[in-house]
Amino acid sequence: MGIRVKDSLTLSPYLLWFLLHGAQVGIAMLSFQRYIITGAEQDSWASLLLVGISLHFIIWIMFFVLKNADSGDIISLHQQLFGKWVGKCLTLGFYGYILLFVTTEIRLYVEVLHVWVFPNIRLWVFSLMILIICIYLVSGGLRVVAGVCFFCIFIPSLLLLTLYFPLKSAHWTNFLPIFNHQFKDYAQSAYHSLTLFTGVEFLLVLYPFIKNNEKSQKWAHIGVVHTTLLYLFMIFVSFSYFNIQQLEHTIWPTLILSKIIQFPFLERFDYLYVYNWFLIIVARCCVPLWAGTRILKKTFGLKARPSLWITSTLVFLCLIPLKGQKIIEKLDFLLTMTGGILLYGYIPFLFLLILIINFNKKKNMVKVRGNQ
Amino acid sequence: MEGFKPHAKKSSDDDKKQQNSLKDIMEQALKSSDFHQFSPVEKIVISYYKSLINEEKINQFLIKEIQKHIDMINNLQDIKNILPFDEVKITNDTQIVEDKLIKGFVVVQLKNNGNDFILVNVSNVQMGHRKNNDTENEFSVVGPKVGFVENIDINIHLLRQQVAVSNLVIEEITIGNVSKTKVAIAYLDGVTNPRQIETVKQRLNDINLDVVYDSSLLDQIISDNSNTIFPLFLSSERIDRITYAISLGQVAIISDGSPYVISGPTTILDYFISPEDYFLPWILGSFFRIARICSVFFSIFATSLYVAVLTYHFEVIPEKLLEPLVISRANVPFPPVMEVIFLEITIELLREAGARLPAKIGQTLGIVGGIVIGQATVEAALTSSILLIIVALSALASFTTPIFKMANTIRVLRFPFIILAAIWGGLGIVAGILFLMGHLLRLKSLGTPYLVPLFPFRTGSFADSIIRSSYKKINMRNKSLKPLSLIRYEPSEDMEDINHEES
Repeated sequence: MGIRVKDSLTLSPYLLWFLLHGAQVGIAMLSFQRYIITGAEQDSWASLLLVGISLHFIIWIMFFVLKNADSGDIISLHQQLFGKWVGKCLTLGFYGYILLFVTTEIRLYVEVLHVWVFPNIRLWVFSLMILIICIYLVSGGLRVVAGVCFFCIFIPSLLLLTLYFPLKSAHWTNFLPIFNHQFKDYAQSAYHSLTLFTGVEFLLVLYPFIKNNEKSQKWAHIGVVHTTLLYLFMIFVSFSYFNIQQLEHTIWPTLILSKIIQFPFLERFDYLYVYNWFLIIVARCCVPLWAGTRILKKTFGLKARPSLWITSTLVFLCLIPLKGQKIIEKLDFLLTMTGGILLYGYIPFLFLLILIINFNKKKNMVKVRGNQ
Repeated sequence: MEGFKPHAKKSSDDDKKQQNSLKDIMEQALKSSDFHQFSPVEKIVISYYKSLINEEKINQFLIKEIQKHIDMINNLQDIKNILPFDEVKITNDTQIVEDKLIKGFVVVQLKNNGNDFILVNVSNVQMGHRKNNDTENEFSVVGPKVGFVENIDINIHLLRQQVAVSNLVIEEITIGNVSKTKVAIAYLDGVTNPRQIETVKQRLNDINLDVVYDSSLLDQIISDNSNTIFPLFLSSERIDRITYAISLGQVAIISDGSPYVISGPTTILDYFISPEDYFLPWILGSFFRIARICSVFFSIFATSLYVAVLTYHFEVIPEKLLEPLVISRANVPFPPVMEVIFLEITIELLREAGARLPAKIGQTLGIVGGIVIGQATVEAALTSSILLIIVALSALASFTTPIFKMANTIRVLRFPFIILAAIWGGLGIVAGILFLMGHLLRLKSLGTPYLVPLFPFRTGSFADSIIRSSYKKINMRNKSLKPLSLIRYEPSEDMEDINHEES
């Protein structure tokens, strides 16, 4: 028996696939080609693949850590390991990360909207609209959030078919020469691809809501495989269509890529991409907003709906001053760094801590037995 | 009828009220001019509402038999023995007398025996009902054309003819403190999930209403969410559709006085299924079903896309297509959104007027409205001709939905999308889609998610959802409705291909 909440509230394990994948894929997919080529250039796909593979290890660690938590989430784990007050502070740190996560996502999408469609509409108007939609969706509960993730993955996935058009004019030699970079180049590319994979950490809050959660691990892995394959495919199409020099000077390569697609009744396919990304963004915002609500509810004993409103208001207040284009690079940098530290630093740290505690417990037990 | 469990529903008022004495009841009844009370022979009094009973039965059988055997009658039991009716009851409960009198029973009393009465059912159920039971609103070219009528007994009879097994259970309750309407629920015992049956019974029992005009009232009251424009129970006048629903393990609710029978739990895809899909070969059936579902999307999004594109994103349209669009709009003085709303409202008016008018005038109106108004508005440069085509097509598309309630929903859904498109362009449409998605994900019909099998995703249930597969594949009930037994029938296995060749 795993640790979980009331039986009627749990979700089927396969939904973990969509929840995690939905939380991972977001606005970064429009522009990630430009970031990851700094370093390993045409070989950066290898770095991306490596990060994707290493993430499976992180997921394994997360499942291990959560199985050792009292009520199966990071909130109880923090209190268990660090005591009431330090635990609460650390949970609030995670909450801050959630705010940063949602803020970055919305701000980056609004930038796309400003450049591509509506240059004159204010930042706060867009932010408010996106947040209100998210509030409506999240207030339906985790089941609705899972449904939103499902549809917001399924519908935009149909767009993958249209990548046939850029592939028609692919330059396969763009991938050559293969593996002619130093280790530090690969590391640099890997670091820049971290932001693409952030989102799995919400497993730390979702875990108790999954039915048979101890056996649901495979669905989390499938979610990450899905994400990795999706990015690899995108990178494959982009690298064969653009060369490295072009990519360096393109802000949103995925959108530029889509401009080549044309139908007799539809020109400027990029509009379709921009609007479809709205669905993707909402899925990626709903999961953290739900997680934030849950954290406020558990740590401060607030009711669910007010804590959802508080979380959204905080995100909104964060968004208002973020004007100007330079802020985008900074936000992206901040999210990559904090996400990286959280995934590859803090979670392994928790893992080690639990290992040590368990080891001590065992030793004590052996001692007690020995004394007897 | 087997499985009948008549039990009168007692509302809270009834409990408080003291039981009326027979004298009070008769006095109350005698105020009405259609109430008759007389003694055919000396010691017997007969009372009934003339408007409710079959007079032939009274004259030919009841009075005649009593007169014939007048010497033998000493007590009520004797009368009961001589009366040639199936529903004869002896009682001393005046409450029952009051209830039954109003349902077309005759009360027979012996003058010297004050407290006991005989109730004889001589009600004239056929009177006032239409004989013609064609399916008027859910027409199909192939297949049966017999539909339900306004009489619950006939409806149950029609249903029993189709579902000829004894585990078709029909339970009856009375709803409405003025109308005292008989409402029956029908289900397959051992197939339908007992929890769903209990939920339906519970919700029906909780209803407090004066008059049940139609089953659609019950539908609204017992639905899981009343703040939605989506129908959560399927209502149909077709016998085959309700039979199919029952055979799938759904619960059907039949209300006296309503030709529409409702069934649940339903999923959103049920509303785009036409019985004709099953009467045609499965490839054709699937094709028409897909066409119907596509037409729903077209109907919802066509006009809002027109508004979005012409207001904000005209660069999306290729030049060659943009040219005729712009030319047709060149003289129109309004922004696209006003133009669209004007035309959409015109179409709605035409539909509404057509539905209210008698059929013959309605046809004329269609021609006048469709051709004259359409042509004139374009010539007067109030709308563009291309928009006229789009609006007419999307109206047409909305009529392909087989269930009238769903067709209404789709027509209404268009307007928020048009307004959102006018404010935000394509972004507004996506925002609308997200709101719609959030709403649909919340909906439940008798506790089953409304979007099943799309979400929660159920691979096993797709054989009969967006497509209609061959009869070999659709022999299983929909697992998500949680029926007790999954297999509907065993398909035959005879095949002639390389796998089945004898060595």
